[in-house]
Amino acid sequence: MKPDLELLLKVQALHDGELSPAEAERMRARLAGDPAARTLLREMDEVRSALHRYEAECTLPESREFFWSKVRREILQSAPSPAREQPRAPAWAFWLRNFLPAGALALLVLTLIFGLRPAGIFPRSTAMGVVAVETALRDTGAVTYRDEAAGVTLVWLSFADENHFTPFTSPDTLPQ
Amino acid sequence: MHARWIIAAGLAGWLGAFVMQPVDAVAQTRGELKLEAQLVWGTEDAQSPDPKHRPVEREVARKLKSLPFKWPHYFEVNRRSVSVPDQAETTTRMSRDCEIKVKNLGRETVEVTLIGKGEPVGKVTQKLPRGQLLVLGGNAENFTSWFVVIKQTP
Repeated sequence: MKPDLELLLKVQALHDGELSPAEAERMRARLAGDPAARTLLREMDEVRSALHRYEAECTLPESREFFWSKVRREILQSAPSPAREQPRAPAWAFWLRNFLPAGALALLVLTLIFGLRPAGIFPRSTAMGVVAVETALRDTGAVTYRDEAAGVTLVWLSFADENHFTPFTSPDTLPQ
Repeated sequence: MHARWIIAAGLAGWLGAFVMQPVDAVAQTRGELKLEAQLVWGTEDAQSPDPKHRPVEREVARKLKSLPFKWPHYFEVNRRSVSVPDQAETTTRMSRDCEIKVKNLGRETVEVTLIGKGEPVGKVTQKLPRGQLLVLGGNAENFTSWFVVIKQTP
């Protein structure tokens, strides 16, 4: 059966405490003689109590103001910043953009051509500090050290009679 | 874009061939090499026991001290001037037992043969421009050292 809409609204208003005292008194008198209206009011009470009982209580670990200020800050940070006005590129930027890579490659090729000439193919390899050392004696060891900054090439030789190269008058250093 | 890189590489090659060619020509200038050879004693002592020894000149000392050695003092035992015509060879006695044979290979390149007691010990081939040093060295008695320092005369 379709419920009486006016009755439904009146019961709802009574249930919500929206009726004036006189109207509420008249409505209660009507409920005493109307089982359908009483049933409707009881259902409303049950629904309300059920909602109160099962409503999940959500508490914030921080104050409300702090929580919302964080939300606001994140929104502002994620929002795209207004586009900045791009300064007009200078005229030479075109040449820089287009020929800088080519220039770098040219420099690299030049370096490879003139910096890494293998010894024995181009005579100028010796100008790059390449030193060739041959040792004539069987028990001679040679170590080469090059200090480009000081402009010194050292060849350190180790052999049996090396101590006799510098004659000294001191008894300590005089060759035996 | 690729064409630009290819053009750049080609230009670099041509630059290398033409611009650097005169440098080669200058470097290939041949002539007599005027060298100075010093026999040097490296020691930890501030004074040499031989009064004839004198400290090496400041520039040579600075360069020797830049090498990874422990000796703070270097004394000149002997000094010889060596003139070597192009493609020629000169032998110079540095001490009783030490000689050097220097060959001028041209383009400021020398081949130095170290001779000890008449026997060749080692041969070093090196470009030796002005201001640079070629140093041959070895151990001497009492934890000292000997060096033959060769450079072009100014």
